Amino acid sequence: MKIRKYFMDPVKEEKWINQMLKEGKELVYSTGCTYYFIEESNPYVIIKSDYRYFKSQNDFLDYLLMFEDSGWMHIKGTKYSGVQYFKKTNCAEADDIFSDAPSKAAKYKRMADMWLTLVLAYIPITIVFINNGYINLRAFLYPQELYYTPGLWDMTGTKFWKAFMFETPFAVGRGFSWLIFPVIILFYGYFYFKLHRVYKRENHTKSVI
Amino acid sequence: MNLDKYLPLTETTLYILLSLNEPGHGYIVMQKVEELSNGKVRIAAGTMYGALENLTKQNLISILDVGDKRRKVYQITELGKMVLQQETNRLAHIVSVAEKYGYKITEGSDC
Repeated sequence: MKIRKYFMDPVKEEKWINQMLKEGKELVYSTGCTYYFIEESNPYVIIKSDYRYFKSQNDFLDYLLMFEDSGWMHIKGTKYSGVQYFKKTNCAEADDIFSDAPSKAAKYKRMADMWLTLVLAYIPITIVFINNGYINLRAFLYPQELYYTPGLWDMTGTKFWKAFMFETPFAVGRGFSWLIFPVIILFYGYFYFKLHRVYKRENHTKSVI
Repeated sequence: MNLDKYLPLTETTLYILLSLNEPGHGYIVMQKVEELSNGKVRIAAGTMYGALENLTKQNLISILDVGDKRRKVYQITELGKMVLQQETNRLAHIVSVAEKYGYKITEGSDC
């Protein structure tokens, strides 16, 4: 069975994959947004996720081999994907890829830090926009100034609506395109705080070892 | 050199450093730690990967340029050995104090 699905939030993705497993649908392999399941899962199967980037192909291979050596098969992820999924089919091995609370929590810290890096990357761009006066607060009060068609506001009826509708996308672009950066910062910042909260919560649970 | 910032070592770190007195890759270290701790300390793959990464960053272990080209082989560094020595002294002191209060190392202790 093939399912296409996109997850912005890796915690939600993990929940979904494990929910599918509970329903007997076992993830076999996944690339990007495409997930391949088999419908009769082995009852011993456990699927766990990690979150890591790798500088080189050798680092990635070394990482994969360490998991493979200890009984975990890699089923999703690339060198740059961050999200990595592993499947355990042998009941003799450990049930989790993390054996203590701090290392389990550190996974969420790595996820949170990725979003933070993006937020920090967009802040200088936004400052440049502010300094160059692209931020047009007047547009909120006088949106009609964004329309450049001569005599637009004196037209009536269909003629007016046609010209108005035609120019609206350009007007919105002129007045509000700068908003994309603050919106991106807020959006990515939201993910950062969300994942950082998961990290804090996990880090306070008692260590296993 | 002040090594106190590295101490005390966690049980996991202690066993990893002890294991790496002989060179080995990740899975070898996992098995060695289990063996040295009489099966008490079992480090899972994700935890071990992070631990080896952190210890390498702290320069307590280093990556050897030999053997298996696909798996990274680690070994304890001179700094790592000094930290381990300091920790051994610290633990020995705790044991000697405990013995003064009548606590003896018992036969068949499981750690």
